[in-house]
Amino acid sequence: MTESYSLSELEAIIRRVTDSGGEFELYPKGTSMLPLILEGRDSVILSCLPDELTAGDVVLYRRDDGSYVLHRIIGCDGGTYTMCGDNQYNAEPGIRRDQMIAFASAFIINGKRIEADSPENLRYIKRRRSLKLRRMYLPVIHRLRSLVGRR
Amino acid sequence: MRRKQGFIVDEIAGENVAVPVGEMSKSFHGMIKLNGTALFIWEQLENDVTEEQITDAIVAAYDVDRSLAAADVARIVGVLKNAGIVTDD
Repeated sequence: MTESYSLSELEAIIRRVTDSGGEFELYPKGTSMLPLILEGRDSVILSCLPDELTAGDVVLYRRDDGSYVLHRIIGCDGGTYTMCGDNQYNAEPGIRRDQMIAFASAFIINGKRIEADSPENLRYIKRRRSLKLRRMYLPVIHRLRSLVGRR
Repeated sequence: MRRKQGFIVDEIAGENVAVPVGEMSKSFHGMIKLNGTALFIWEQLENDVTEEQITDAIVAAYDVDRSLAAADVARIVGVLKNAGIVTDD
């Protein structure tokens, strides 16, 4: 009685659940939110979008090309947001609020629930704040991981 | 027995799926795929019913063998009870 669905199939139900004040647990795929979210192990608790979004918030959104992304806001400028995965160093500017579907209010990391506004998560966000720093060390880490065949 | 409130049934990718909403979604994470028989049973569980009453309803609606219907009811109700969605209260 369990099944795996694509995000395009799930978008409407995610909206219904979060609009009801509820939570939707999503298991993200991919490596862009490493080291926070490990595919197959960790999940994200999605809730309705708060009135105000700020840098550090993780949001599920749909790009204009129809693809779905769960990334972190790293900046806000003139009503649009700049997004970036924690494991990435190329920012994605120009994301509008109307593209956003839900807000990651908590993370289930290795079985432990971590609220987005917990001190533990805020410390993690602070450590990954500098995109400039990420541009220096992430290419090295990615290169090393590819050499040893790890993500 | 009856089903707890706080679920909606919606169609996802051509399949009926029960999804928790509101407060229920905070204690139950996940979705339950319902085939035709499971959906019928799910709907019966909206009211306080026994397995026998659900079996009677299936036999009346679909003219199927009673023992097969009873086995389906026992299996599906068992899954829902294990998930904490159906209670004997």
